[in-house]
Order: sequence, then C-alpha cells, then structure tokens
Amino acid sequence: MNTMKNILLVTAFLIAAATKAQVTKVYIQASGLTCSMCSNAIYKALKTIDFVDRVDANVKHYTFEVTFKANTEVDFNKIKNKVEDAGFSVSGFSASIYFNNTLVKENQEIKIGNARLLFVNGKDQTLNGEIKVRFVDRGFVPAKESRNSRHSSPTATEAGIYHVTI
Amino acid sequence: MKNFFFLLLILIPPLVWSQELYSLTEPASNRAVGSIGFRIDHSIMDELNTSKINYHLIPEVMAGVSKKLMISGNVFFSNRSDVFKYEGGSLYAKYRFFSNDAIQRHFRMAAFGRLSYNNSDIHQEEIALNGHNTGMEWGIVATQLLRKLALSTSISYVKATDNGRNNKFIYGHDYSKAINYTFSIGKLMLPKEYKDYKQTNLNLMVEFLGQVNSGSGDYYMDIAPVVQVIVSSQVRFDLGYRKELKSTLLRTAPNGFFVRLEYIFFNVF
Repeated sequence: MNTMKNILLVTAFLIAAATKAQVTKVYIQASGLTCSMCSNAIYKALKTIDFVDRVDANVKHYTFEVTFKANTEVDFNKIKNKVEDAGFSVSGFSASIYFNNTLVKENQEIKIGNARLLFVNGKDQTLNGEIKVRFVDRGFVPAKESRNSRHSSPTATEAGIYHVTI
Repeated sequence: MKNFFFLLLILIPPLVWSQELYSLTEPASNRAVGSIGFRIDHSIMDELNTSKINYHLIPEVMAGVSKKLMISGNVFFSNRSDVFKYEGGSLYAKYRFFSNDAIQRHFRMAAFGRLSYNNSDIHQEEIALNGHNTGMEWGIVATQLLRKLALSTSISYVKATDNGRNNKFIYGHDYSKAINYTFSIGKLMLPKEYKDYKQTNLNLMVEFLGQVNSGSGDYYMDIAPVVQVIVSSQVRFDLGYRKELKSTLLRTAPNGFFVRLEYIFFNVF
C-alpha cells in the first residue's frame, strides 16, 4: 500500500515538474518613439512593476530586456500596458521560458503561473531547456500585423491567454 | 520667403530623426501616465513703438492622467502694465484619439482645449490666451514622427471674452473669434546615435504660428526658431525667438525671445 502511495507521489511530482515552466526574461521592442526622453519614460514605467527585478534598455534600438524577481508571477499584459501608459506601443514581445520536458500541441494550453500560452505554429513537440517564444496577440505585435492577425483578442490577453509561436 | 525655404532645406536633410517637444505648440503625443512635469516659461517681448520690454513669466504644471489624456495648468505674471504682477492663469487638456505607431515613427492625432483667465487690460486685436486674454480655445493637432524629424500641425478655434477686473474686450463681439493654425518642424541634431540616457540631446525647431480673425479677416503669421537641449532625458531647456512675418492685426509686442526650463518626474502617482 505504501509502495503504491509512493509511486503515486512520485508520479504526481514528475507531472508537476514536467509542466513547471519558468519565465526567465522578456524582450520588448517599443515603437512610436525616437527620443531618449521617451525611452526613459518606458524604462521608468517598467521599473515600477512589482515583479520586475531589472530592466536593461537598449537606447539605440528602443528595446528592453526585463528580468524578474524570484518566485513571482509574470503578468505579460501588465508589462505591455506599462509601455502603452508611457505613451508608446509594443511592436515585438518575446519571452525566454525554461521548459522541462513539456509537450506542446497546437492550440493546447500550457500554464505558466497564471498565464496560459497557446502555441499556434503547427507541430507537436516536446520542449526542453530555455526557449524563446514570441507573442502574436494584438498589442504585442506591430499595428499592421495586429490588424491581420487571427489572434487579435485583447479580452483573451486580459484574461491571461496568450498566443505564441516558437 | 526665399530665406524660409532655404531654412527648410537645411532643416530637412534626407536622413533624419526627430523631436516633437515644441516650444510654442503641443504635439499630438501625450505625457507618460503618472508623470508630472514642471516648466517655467519666460518671454521677453519688445513692445512696438516704445522702448519698453514686456516680460512674461509663466510657471506650469503638467500631468499624464492616462495614456490618452493629459492636463496642465499655468499661472501668468507680467510687467506689461508697468508693475510686475499676477494676471491670471489657464487650464489645458489634450486627448489623443488616434495613434499609429511603428518602429521609430508614429502618426497621432489629438483634440485639445484651453480655458484662460486674465485680469489685464485688452491692448491688442490679436487674441492670445497665453497671458493676454480671457477666453477659450479648442482644436485638433496631428503629429507625424519620421525617425529624427517630427512634423506637427494644428488648427483651433479661439474665442475671447471680457478680461477680469472689468477690462472689456473693446473690439466688439464680431471680432472676438479667430482661427489659429500652426505648423511645426523639429529635428534631432545630436546625438548622432543613442547610447544611453545621459547623452545630451540637441534639437532644432521652427514653428509657424498664424491667426485669422473670423470677424475682420485680419491675420498674422509668425515664425519661431528654437534651439532645445535635453539633459539626462529629464531636464529640458529651450531658447527661441518669435518674429512676426506679416500682420494686419494690431499687436503690442509680437517679437521677442523666450526661454523654457522643464523638469519631468516619472511615476509620481
């Protein structure tokens, strides 16, 4: 009986480990600006987010690399909104996520904290190690791409559902 | 006129970046949410047909309320009536209703309005809500950013009423309304390439400011070249000169220098 319990425990642990993916970094391309004062506004806005540990700004290319505090939930939508609050737009948004033997299938959700990621580019695969995923929802891609996107649902991202590609 | 086009040519070389933080007009872009800006404007205007210099001091506070809305308020002081004194103030709001952003460019449109109070005597046909007339103004502004270059144009309706302290608008009701129109060009000159926020930015701007009185049809057209320096992406200093190009309106002191100092605090509220 005890053996059975142990097997169950181990299995439960393995399943938990298998789906435990961790966001390590977010990369943002900001658009609509060409002044350092504007870039500074975004930098300072990103710094105010409670789960953000560090923001590295590339002033030349208007990109931002965001790292997070340990054991915190990353709210991707909040990051995007901060850029918009500073007066600009996000035209590129990627996240480095550490996967541990995670099976990904088309249109099947992968839960990372409170966020649910839907992989939209095809083939089923098992992800291992640090992998960069690109967000393709409206507000996370250039305005032009947003208009043509099949994944243009701000209500979904508000609810924590994101469409991503690898 | 020839000189003007020559000036445009030197300001717009083929490979350009931009700036849109104009001195005499506002761009369609807004302030960062939660930011508060403090600004002090000085203008030193040469009074026509006298040896007098009119000095205006206008402190202003600006706030980014949401990503689409900003508000600001300012207070007017001047020595135009011989003693330096408080003359009024104004409230301003701007709402960005359209924004199309791309990397290093944008096109934006905003609606704006201003309510002004002034207690000095009415002394010119020109309607100026920034320290001369009590009244209101509303209009729209469109701004195009193309890398280092920013172009902006606005059109607005201005209505003057009687000033405070029983200073009547003496030109009559028909002449109390006007259309303002502006065209501004701003260009980022330095740095050639951004490396960090500490780099000092140098911008050159030229603004054209026009008004036509809807009652009399009289008008003016001014030009204002401006040099602007931004230090540490937070402190801003503008130096400009406003010059009347042509006018059929009675104006007291259309020509003179102006200086602006501004400091922005981010994430205050």
